[in-house]
Amino acid sequence: MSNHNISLDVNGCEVEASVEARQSLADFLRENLGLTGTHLGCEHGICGACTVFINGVPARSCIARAVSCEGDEIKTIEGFVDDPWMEVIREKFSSEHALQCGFCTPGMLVTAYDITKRIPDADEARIRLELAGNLCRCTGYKGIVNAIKGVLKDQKDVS
Amino acid sequence: MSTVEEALAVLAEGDGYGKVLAGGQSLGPMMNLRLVRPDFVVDIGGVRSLTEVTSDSGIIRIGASVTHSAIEDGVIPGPTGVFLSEVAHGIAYRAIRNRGTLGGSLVHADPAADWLSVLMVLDASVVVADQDGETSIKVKDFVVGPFTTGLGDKSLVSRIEFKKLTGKAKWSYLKSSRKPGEFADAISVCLRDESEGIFRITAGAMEITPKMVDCNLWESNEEKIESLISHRKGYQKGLHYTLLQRSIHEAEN
Repeated sequence: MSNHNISLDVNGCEVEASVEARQSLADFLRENLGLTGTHLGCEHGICGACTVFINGVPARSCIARAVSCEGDEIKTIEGFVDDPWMEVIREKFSSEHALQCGFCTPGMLVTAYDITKRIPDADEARIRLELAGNLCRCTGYKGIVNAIKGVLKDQKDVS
Repeated sequence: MSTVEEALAVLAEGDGYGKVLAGGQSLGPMMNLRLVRPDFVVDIGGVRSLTEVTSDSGIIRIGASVTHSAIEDGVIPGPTGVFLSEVAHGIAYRAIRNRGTLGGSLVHADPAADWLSVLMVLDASVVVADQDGETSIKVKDFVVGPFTTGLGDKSLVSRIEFKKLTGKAKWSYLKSSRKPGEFADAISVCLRDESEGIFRITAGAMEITPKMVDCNLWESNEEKIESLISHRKGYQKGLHYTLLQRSIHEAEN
């Protein structure tokens, strides 16, 4: 398998690498860059554990190829560490018991970020619909939904 | 790859079995699961011309690489856009919709795909490009079986075209699945536009190519529905039956 030279932005840093065409973005992030916050569950796009931002919108990194991301801006959970909005979401996840083992959590947080920014008036039914692509084996989802509801409610109260 | 011509050249010259990669939301999982092992892949993600949406003389033309999320967010104008936005919203999950494309879904031709049934009810055509030029084929003729289309090895789908719906059009799009976002167990799409004499219903997610009937040709709802699902059995037939009945009813009101 031939290698391809790629250049992309990961969490604000310019990254250059030589990768096999078959390597997924998730494997590239985890193995080449050591960014292991992105998790692999099903590796076919269903479970959502691998969800990252590609050019500002949520996408599955398990079915994206690193070579396809030439010139793209990737943001993993590590890239949200200093994001004030993610700080708000993280606090709610903590206070509402939205995680136990934490395996689904990076994907949940990235998806929650998108939901809270894109659909500020989402009700519980809509939140659950938008979260359908992120599976959790521990919590039964109630805490996650409550965390997102809490974020949206607080934002409404402020504005 | 930044133009269709470049992509077609690579396809034509490639050694062995090549696949075009658009959003990668069908081909990606299939490669991960080793269900398909192409010798080479042509990534058309950088071909901007395939993401254009235009409409003129009553026809809407959608570039094959337009994503489901763009359609969900209203990139297609008019009443047709409202209909398609509703359909798009129900496809998989937002993360998939951000990458998955209309053309990709059509070429993958999963019988349970949302777009297949909808494009059939719209009597849409697909424009296929190869190094000799472009050909337009009706979607119902392009899709020949489950996961099978008439697309040649050296061709790619460049756009999908259909007549705009008028303001009088009514539609009903229903799908049944255990949880939101899963591939459907049954799909029913009904389109009615009396000003254009259109009354069509399509049954999808039947493990074969979706089937459509022109309702103007049938008397009773029973006959229309039976003609679509006579091959189904048991609870699956019941599921389709219920959805089709509901669709016809919704499109009438």
